[in-house]
Amino acid sequence: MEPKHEIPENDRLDEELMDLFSAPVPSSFDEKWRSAIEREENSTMSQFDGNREQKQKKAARMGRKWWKAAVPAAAALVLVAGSCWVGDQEPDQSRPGSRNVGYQSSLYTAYDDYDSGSYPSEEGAYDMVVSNEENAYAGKSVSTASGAGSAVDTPSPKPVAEGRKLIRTASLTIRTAQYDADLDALTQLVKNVGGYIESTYQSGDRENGSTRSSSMTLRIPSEKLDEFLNGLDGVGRVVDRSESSTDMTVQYADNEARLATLRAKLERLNELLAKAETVEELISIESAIADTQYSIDSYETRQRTIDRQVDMSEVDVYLREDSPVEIASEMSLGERISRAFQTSVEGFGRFMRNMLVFLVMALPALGLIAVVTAAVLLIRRAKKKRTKAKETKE
Amino acid sequence: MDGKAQRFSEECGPYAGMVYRHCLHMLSRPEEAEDAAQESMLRAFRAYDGYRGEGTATWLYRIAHNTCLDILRSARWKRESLPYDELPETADPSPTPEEAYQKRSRREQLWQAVEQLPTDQQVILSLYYGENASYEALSRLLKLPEGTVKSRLNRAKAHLRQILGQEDAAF
Repeated sequence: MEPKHEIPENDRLDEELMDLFSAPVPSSFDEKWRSAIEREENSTMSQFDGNREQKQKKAARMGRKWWKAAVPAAAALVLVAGSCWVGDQEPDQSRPGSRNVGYQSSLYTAYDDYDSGSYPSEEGAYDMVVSNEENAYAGKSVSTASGAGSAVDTPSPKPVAEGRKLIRTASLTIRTAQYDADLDALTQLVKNVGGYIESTYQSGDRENGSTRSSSMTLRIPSEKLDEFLNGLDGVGRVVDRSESSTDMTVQYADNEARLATLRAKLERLNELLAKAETVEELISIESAIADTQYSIDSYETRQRTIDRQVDMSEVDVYLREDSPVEIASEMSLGERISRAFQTSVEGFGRFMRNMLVFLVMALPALGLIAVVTAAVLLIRRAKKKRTKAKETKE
Repeated sequence: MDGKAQRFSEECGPYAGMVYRHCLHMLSRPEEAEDAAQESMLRAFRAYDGYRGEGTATWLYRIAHNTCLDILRSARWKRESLPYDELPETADPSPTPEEAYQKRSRREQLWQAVEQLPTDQQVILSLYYGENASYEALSRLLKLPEGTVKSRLNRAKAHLRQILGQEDAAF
């Protein structure tokens, strides 16, 4: 039987605890654990250095890899940018099918010069040389007024034409998906009604994707104007239309009255000239005759202009080709796909041509870069070989 | 020594003996205890960066305790534990074998009672009796006021007495 343990007193417990916890610590223990810690720290540092070295190597490799990826990317970017630049630099005349040239009608007359503002002033416009067409009007409204005058032959003022002197003008904007066909149709319609194209300006290049348009100034016989405007229903889509009329009746009558006065004055001056007795009188009368004749010519020109404008209405037509998006909205899915593919192929072809041109243009620079790069690579290779040889010797 | 090892040695070095004694009590073999104590100090060193300095002695004590548990649980450990009568002891003045036996039995009982105490009480007893540290030294080591050190020590002993009294009563 085990002896019964008595409950120790404080002092006794202290002694026992002292005895319990007083096992000697080996003398080598302290040194052992300190050495172990030192070894642990050294191995951690070398591992850290190894990791850091690995990380640095990895970063260097990544750097080189980044460099290897960046150079081809930069070269591709330069190639694409250069090709696009070449495409932009192409002059319009070199593109086939471009119709960016102003077209002048064979009946472009002196009055057209006035209408387009070629003359500095209205007065100057009336001093133009009369064309063949103007001769036709000259027969209508101008009586001969040079040097023939006599009381009997005093020309009477031209009676105002029956009806009013209305100058009609019209302006239209036409959109079309069939530009060529509608342009031809428009031209034919003008001819059919007895009119003519006074001026035209065309622009746009389908090959480069820009829409074509044509700005035309037409002269249509006034009595056929309505027929012409109605005939435009078959030409594209009229998206904008405006008409105006200017009543020149009063002005025309005024001009006629002034002309009559001037002609009477001229006749009288001619009579006076015949009776001139002195040189001074002669000079003075002749000067007055010249001034009067000048005024007569001016008014006659004005009357001819009004007559012309009354007889041939001016019609401004702007014919614009629909853009591919607008055309696509009217096309079936199959047509849209086909057209889109065609456009893409055409665009790709253009781009490849531009790229080829750019490459040829850049050949000298590329050659120089290639030479420099080759030299650098050779030098680096030689250096590496020397370094390796040195290490081998050591 | 580099910075971290230096700091660790200065802070944890005073408790190395406590660590060894605890390992000795758990493993009962001096050589194994020394290895376990060394391993405990190494583990503490590796975990030192994350240590927030909230009780170095207790922290080391727990590391040593867990290290010994790992060793005891390991498959390679053969529990050929030396009986208490083969443990290294201080010089035993007991003249008779019976007295020596009684003394060893008492030590075993006392040690088992100590193991039932909370860790912080085991630590303070181990430091006070094992390192023979004064209240002032313990106060510095444990970063506690002297009064707190005294009261904790008294509480540890009272608890121990209670455990021992219950055991005696069980007999």
